[in-house]
Amino acid sequence: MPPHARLRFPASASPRAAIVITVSDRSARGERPDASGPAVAALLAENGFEVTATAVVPDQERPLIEALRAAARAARLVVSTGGTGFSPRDRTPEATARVIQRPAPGLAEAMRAAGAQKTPRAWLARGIAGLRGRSLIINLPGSPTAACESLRAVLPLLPHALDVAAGRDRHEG
Amino acid sequence: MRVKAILFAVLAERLGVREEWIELPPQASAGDVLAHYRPRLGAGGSILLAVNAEFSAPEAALHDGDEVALLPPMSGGAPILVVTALVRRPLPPPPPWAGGVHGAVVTFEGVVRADADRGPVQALFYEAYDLMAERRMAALAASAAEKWPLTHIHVLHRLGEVPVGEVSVRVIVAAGHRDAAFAACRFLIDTLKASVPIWKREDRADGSRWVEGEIPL
Repeated sequence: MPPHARLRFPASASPRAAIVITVSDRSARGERPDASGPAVAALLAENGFEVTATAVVPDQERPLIEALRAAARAARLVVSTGGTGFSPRDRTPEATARVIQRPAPGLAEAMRAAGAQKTPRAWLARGIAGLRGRSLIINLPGSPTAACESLRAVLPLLPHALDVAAGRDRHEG
Repeated sequence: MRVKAILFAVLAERLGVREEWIELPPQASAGDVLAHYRPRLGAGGSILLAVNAEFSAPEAALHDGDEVALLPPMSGGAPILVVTALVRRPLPPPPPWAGGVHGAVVTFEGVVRADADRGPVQALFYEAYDLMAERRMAALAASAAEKWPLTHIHVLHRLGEVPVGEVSVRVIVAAGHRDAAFAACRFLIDTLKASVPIWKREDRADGSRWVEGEIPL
């Protein structure tokens, strides 16, 4: 981690603890995070996850790397929204790639495939997914609708994925 | 359309261009100006855009005669680490500083107090309009970063029940020098309390009441 990192989220031992990180668009003036963070948090809470924190970071690699690492230390599921497009400022997949240790490309493909049923532009989402230790990190797009649709596409897989990642189910995976 | 591109500092030097008019297709956006220079700039580098001297998103539509600036990272150096968060569990103590990149660190912690005018408080309960609170906190951090030369901003606010003695809000500001760190920390906690939509309820043995604050600005 960077030598000056100083961020800790509250750690939760719950196998369903989740942290949502909104990557804000530092466009125009100041920071204007998308509305997707709270929408994603609500969707997770409806599906049995305990959202212990929601954070906003600017769309720059270093703060995002710090936030992803801190979140993965504190919760089993880390979901980011935003910064996955083609604009030069979109750096979320690059930052995430530096944090995850084992890629889970299937989750990202499932999200794109679900989105593509609505619009072919879903194929332009560059989000990735993967494990850091026992924690799963997933990049969602920035728009609230696309973020929630993407998350819904993989939600049914997450409990089993997290259990296997924690070593609690050795039969599959 | 024709727009005036202006480049600064390391970008101007690298490309040997300070200012020139470039021809873009109609419907062009600010990002197209960056794309125009990208092959000569190479990949990477966090270049910001400004249209007519205002920060601009790459998608912003351009008009004939606009002035589009490519801004390399501003002096003040390293990218600043900004994180704002709403947290639903006790805040862990922050890890120690390392690396020696910050000359001054000011931390403010708001701690739930037992005493109140109507008898002992057992806990405070915080409720937020979370979408707006996230936006306001991020905007405050961004304006602090604009006003002072800072290296680090963390603003963490608890939601839900916070027992007496626990930290309900933590603002950490780091900078090269103490004046900026103190001023920015003070600005952040003061404007946060006045303008971020978070409300608190005092829970006592004999009941609860919502604490009226200042009217949000």
